[in-house]
Amino acid sequence: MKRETRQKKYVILAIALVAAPILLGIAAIGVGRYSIGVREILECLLPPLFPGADVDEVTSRVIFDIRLPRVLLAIIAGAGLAVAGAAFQGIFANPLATPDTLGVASGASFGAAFAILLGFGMMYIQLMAVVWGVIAVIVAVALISGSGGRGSTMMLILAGMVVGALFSALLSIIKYVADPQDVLPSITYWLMGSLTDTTFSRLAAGAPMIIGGTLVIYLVRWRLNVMSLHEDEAKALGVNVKRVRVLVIAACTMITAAVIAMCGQIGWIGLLIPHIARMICGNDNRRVIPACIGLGATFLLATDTVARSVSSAEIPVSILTSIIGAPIFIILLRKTGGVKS
Amino acid sequence: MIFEVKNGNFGYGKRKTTLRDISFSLRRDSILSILGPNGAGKTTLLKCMLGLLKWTSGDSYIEGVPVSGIEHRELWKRIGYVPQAKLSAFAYTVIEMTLLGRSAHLGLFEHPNDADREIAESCLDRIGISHLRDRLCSRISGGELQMALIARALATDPSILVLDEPESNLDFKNQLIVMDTIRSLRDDHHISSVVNTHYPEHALSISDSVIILRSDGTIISGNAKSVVTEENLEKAFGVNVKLHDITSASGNYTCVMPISIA
Repeated sequence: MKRETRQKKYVILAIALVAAPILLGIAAIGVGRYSIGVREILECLLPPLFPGADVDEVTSRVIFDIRLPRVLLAIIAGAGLAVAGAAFQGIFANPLATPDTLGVASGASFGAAFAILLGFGMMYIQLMAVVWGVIAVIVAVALISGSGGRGSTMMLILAGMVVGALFSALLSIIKYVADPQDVLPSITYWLMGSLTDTTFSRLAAGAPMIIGGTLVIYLVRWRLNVMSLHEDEAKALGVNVKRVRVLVIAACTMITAAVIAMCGQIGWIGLLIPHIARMICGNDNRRVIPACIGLGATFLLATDTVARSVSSAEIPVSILTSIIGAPIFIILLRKTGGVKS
Repeated sequence: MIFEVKNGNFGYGKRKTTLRDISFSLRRDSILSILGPNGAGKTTLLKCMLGLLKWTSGDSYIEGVPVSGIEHRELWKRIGYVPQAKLSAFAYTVIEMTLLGRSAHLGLFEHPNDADREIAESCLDRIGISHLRDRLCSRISGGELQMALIARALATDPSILVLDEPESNLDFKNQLIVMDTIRSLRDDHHISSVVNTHYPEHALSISDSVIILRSDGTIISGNAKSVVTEENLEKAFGVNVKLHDITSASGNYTCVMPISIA
């Protein structure tokens, strides 16, 4: 393909990836038990453009108190998870890495379950999830620090698996002792992941962490390319490998811990979306990361909208991301052979 | 002297010493080859030279300044490292790979701009692989990948190139392409090279000076003709070797033939 046509293709792609979550977001606001027309939504969201429009109270309440925060959370969380996955795959030079590779999801789940067991309120459950997610990653990193430089990315992945297993065991203990009448079901439901009951105040607590982490990775995205080479090679290209690694791990941990704290465990996005992004635009992270933001946002928004509207009882979104994600992934892999040629 | 090692010692762990009392120097506009049997520590020597591993005692010097005292990024603006051609986890295109050579010149949050891109393209051009520009590194031959890695090292704009067995796994023609490239970088672009190699013939044909690293961790060094001798090769590699001079239309060559295990 000629360079000019390819440039043109990327411009079109960029526009599509910015437009998709916005258009889908507007559509998603209208979908649900109480359906709202596009014109009403726009009148409500952008009053200056529609002078004299009169939006009724109920519609406005549904939009601002229920649907808009949820749509925004889906966009932010989807983008964040996809970016965190791509970044981990880069720094660990491993296409199978996920945002949970260092055990943050297990730690956060343990923290949340512990908080539910103790009967804490929503705010403290979220806080505990974030804190324990971060603790899990710190433990994983501490386990291998000072163990020598050679093969240290593989050591980090192993340390993450160990920490993940440890916190899964702790989580099992909590489930075991939890009251099966009411506490255990609420732990189970929380773990399945859902964007229900998102409010602007909950969003305000978690979104800055996700957006901040995503921004950091967006800014260092070119460095992810060099990080995916062998460690000595990256060093010999003048890169401070340790510093970049710590920065990226910190940013990804912030993103993932905050997402899990707000929506529970949502799997697949961190693995599926980066691979789709690479199939579309090659392996250069200067394009992969922006593509992940657009695709991740669109994917989680679409699955969440289906999850809450397809049946009268809401389906946990993590179940849907797997059910939809796995076949899409296989189809794409078969079609493209895994890499863009 | 553009590069020097003085009294370098190194051992993995406390007791074992892999490299003993290593001293040698690299003159400006010259090529130095390092020969040695498997396991003698050639790659270790390269890593110690470059500060990727720390000498237990002694130090390396670039233009008289100890390497350990040079800031990481500054050091790697002067040295271009060409590793053995191995594929990375994600396949980048040749131009994307070459651009990574600009890393030492760019800060953590900086991205390569048009000037960096032009430098990368000119490096491809200089060693004659512009046609590979948009090919994926996973879809080109081993020889082409090795050339791409040389282009990446050149994009750093180094005064010294360090190559780790650049002609291993390559066929005759690609070996010659790599060797000719190293030679023309010295002659036309004033870039000195340190080359780790398994081929005494290559050491003889391209280098100004040669080091033989022996299994006990000591070295013999000097100009190519005086170091690559039947006697030295026999002692270092444990094989009986015959050197044979060949004259062809394009010049004189020395053929190194291993005869039997000593």
